[in-house]
Amino acid sequence: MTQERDVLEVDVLYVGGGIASLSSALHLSNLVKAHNEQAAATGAKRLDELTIAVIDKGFSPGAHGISGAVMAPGPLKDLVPDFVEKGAPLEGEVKKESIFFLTKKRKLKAPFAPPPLNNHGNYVVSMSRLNQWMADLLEKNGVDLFWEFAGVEVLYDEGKVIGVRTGDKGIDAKGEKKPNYEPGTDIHAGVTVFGEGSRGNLTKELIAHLGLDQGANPPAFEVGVKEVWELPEPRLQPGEVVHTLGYPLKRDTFGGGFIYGMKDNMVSVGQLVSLDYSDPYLDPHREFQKFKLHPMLAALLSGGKLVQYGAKTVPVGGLYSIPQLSFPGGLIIGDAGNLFNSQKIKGIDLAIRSGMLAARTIFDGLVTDDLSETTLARYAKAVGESAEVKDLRKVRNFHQGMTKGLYLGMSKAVLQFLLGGRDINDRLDSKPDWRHMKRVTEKYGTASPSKEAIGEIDFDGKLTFDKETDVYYSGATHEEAQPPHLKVPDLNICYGKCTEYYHNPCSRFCPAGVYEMTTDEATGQRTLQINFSNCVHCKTCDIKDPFENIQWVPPEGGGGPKYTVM
Amino acid sequence: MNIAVCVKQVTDTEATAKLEPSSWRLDRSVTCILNPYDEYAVEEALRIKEAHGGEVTVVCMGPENATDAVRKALAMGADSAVLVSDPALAGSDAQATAYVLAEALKTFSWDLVLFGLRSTDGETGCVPGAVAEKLGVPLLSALSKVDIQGTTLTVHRETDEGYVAYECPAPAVLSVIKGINEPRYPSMKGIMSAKKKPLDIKDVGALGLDTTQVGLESAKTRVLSARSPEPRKAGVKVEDDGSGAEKIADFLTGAKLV
Amino acid sequence: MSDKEGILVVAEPKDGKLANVTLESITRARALTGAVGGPVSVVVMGADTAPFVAQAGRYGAERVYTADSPELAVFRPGPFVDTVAAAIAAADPAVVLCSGSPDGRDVAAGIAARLGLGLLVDITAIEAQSGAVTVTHPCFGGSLIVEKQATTIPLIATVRSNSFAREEAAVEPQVVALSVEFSADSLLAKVLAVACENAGIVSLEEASIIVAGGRGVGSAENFALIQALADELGAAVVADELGAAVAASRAVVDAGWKSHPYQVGQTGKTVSPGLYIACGISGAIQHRAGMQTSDCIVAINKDPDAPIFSCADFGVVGDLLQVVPALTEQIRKRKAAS
Repeated sequence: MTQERDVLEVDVLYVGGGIASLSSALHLSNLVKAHNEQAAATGAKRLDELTIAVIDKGFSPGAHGISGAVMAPGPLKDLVPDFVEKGAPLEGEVKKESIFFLTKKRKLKAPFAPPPLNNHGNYVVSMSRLNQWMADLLEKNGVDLFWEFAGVEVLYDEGKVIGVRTGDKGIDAKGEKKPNYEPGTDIHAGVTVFGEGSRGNLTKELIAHLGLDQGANPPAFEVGVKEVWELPEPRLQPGEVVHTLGYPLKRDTFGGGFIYGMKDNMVSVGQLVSLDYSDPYLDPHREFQKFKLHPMLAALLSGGKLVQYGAKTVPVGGLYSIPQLSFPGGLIIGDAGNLFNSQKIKGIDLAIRSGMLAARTIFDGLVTDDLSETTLARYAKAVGESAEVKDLRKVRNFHQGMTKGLYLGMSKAVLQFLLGGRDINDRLDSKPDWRHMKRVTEKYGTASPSKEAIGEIDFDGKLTFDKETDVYYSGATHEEAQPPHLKVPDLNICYGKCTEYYHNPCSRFCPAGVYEMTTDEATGQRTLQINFSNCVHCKTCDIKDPFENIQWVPPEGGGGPKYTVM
Repeated sequence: MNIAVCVKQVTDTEATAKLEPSSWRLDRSVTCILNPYDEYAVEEALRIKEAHGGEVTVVCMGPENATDAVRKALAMGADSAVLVSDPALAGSDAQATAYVLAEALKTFSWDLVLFGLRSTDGETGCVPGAVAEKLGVPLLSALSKVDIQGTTLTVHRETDEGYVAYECPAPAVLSVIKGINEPRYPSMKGIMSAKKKPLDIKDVGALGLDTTQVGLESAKTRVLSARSPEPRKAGVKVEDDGSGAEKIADFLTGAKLV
Repeated sequence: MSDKEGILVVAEPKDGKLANVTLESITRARALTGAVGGPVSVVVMGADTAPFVAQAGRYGAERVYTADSPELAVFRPGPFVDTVAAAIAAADPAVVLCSGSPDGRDVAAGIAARLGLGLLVDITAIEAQSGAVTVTHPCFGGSLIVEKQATTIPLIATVRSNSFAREEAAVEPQVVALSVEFSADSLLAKVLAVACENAGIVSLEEASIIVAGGRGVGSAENFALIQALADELGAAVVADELGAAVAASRAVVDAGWKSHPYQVGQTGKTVSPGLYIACGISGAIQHRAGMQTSDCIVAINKDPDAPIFSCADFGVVGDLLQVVPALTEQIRKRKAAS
């Protein structure tokens, strides 16, 4: 068994194997291939023996890929012009679209979809399936894909990023090495591209270390909770899109529901909740279960079968939350760089676009043998000039406008839309999501709010499910013999201030039931139990804990959900 | 000591199992992995190689994408692999599988053949015994320990009460249980080098197989139907008023469970 | 149609007697003779098979093939396969039933390969109609029930324990002593030692009764109550049963009250005992996945809405710390009275 740390030298390393990295690696390998073919004819210098590697903590391609999802096909078309012929897994083209405002029992249909939500010509896709398909294309291009390898540390050389260290494997719950202990690998790369997705753990550290967020707003997030169902008969066309506002979210909480028709009588239903909510008793999983109780949803899903469950945060901070995207030795792409259009609820097109632009920049640098900071900085400029990011400029204050709650926010959004983004203020302030939570007494006027006031429901096991059942359907598993990957540095806060002020909201904001406060009846001793094996890697805890007392670090590679149709 | 390790690609245990109604074959469109039990066999083979020298060859029968499972065994450290893959093999039962593996094993020389205890999908656990019979060498199954001195094996076969120790000369067919070792993780370097290791894909013709002995048509067993079991229904539920234990005891006695 | 008739049961010894699964197979075989013809034969192997012959007759074996040899004292695939092959040649049966244990599986696999027979494994039911024999096999941890047939006669099947009833129907069996020549190759593997370090320990998968504790047990110390109930139940059941074992839910293992080998559920073991008593286990789907194929489920839980009650045949809403010791006492009293 190897006990010494391997060092692996690669030319380009992608950290995270989601759509941004896969698109970028595909584009880069295509550019290199075309260049070499041309070089054969013209005698120009070839880019030989180039190693492009992608690492991902997930078990297999797409295992951690989750999105709504509706995709604007422009960037994919630029990347793989014949994507339809190549068998891209498209659930259906959007031909029918509606938007409803829901009250508990009723629905009010908008006469037409507001332009930001006009999805005609877009496609409903499953992120996991799209990632699987793209990973196959990469294999054929000779890109090295390493699943089950989590990046745990950014490697620097005097302020320049030189690669990433992957996590050790074979460490037991007490932190001792097991007989099959395998130390992580130091991957050294000419360029390291961070495509870790929403709230990437290394990207977070990198941004802080290099001060890439100077002058930017703090990032802001929503958490999406979603289920895929199989219906007994066709009730929604593949590609049909429904968006909802209103029920079940309380007036001061921003978010909305979605229903997307997939192939084979499957349907993707989900709800996004903005994590700047103030209610310590809000539970995004419970709110999603309530969403399904609306008569419109209940009728749609009646007689159907739950197929898969998942949850993931989405970066919605908009233009002003985008950090500096290039730095010595590397780039940030996709959701990891908060490249997401919250008004259109779209990030796939931005992920592919930014990935392609990163690939182009790196390719130019490889050809000219110049991967300096100046070369890499061209990427950030190109992203800013892309049509997708220009779109972001128009809606740059959308999310901040919404923080005041739906009704007030709505009018601002309308205003912003009409003004093309030139809002009353050029830039709205924003504070991090965790600072928005209010104390229980402040929110409810009492220290023991009733079940009704909170909005609790009982789960019936047919239409609505408890977290344990849903987690089962996410396929989430982790090697049990390892230290918990959710770090709570100060338990005194949990048992003291957090209990007193917020009644331990971690047990509610986590959509996978990771956190449980248990009480020993005999002694009254309270214990925070961390069911880390349930974790679906959504990162809500890392974002929303009111004391920033939870740190999400990657578990042993291969752990986490096993999405196949999300 | 040269070792052949027979492995299988199976659907991921966390995925929902489905049979295709047309053929009652496993729907393999879901994520496929190296049979988890086989990881123990691969690890044991590598440990024997590390202690006694020799080569480890992976042998697999399966569809073409079973190369993924085979590559994992190579990434762990096996030296080369033979994958028998042919559309004519689809639907083969355990007996036909044993025939194919035995024929593949006859094409090179080995001292030991290692198997995992069973697969997580077929769950028959009968292939090692059938292969041993076809090769005419001893079978020692469900082993929790394998020691080697020269060409003599000393092994422990797990039983409910403990174990039975056997001694046997090579060549032999062995199957090992979960827990005999902790399978190693493929390293990144291992994964990269696995891509360059010899992987010989053979079809029915290349092995000179008798096609009347393989595939769905030749199977000596056939599936008539497959269904999900009826979900359990809730039975009697009573509040404990101090007589709860007595009521359970009455119920157990009534059901002749005690 | 073939002229092969009757059923041959390959006996499995266990602690000097025939294993339950053998007696269950003989019992079931008796009901099949109408469709596949008689007789019900049994092949017994060992250093001294006399006690097996008597026991097989008590359960209705009309003919018993015996093979007495020191080479058959401890299980080895080689000589056992040779013997069963000789018994099949002598009996010419339509159906051969082996035990679903590791020994039975090795014998069945060897026989099927040697004679080119269709092998049906781990069956829980067998039906015969006008010569066509259909078996049932639960796979994927009981999530799929498959019905199968063999295209060969005889067919050979391995039988899962606890699948059939066990009823006596004494006959005076015809005893046929087999003379088997073991080939040198069959005797290559030699038995060095038999270790019984866990004598008396009941494995979770094999146990006929499991008492499982969840978070409601409250502490590692309180597991003594669970153990006491298992011990009492294990002693109360008929002496030749496999006995009772203690299991735990994931919450218990996570809390460190019990180690991982005790865990039942999605990330632990899948069990299917005759009786499963869930104490203080809420019954999340992850746990139910590991135990819902149990024949009978009893649940004790404080929470009347606990999901475990939805799959329990009998449930008590109450404090397990009261109910479990009381139940142990009830079992003790009833045993003393009988």
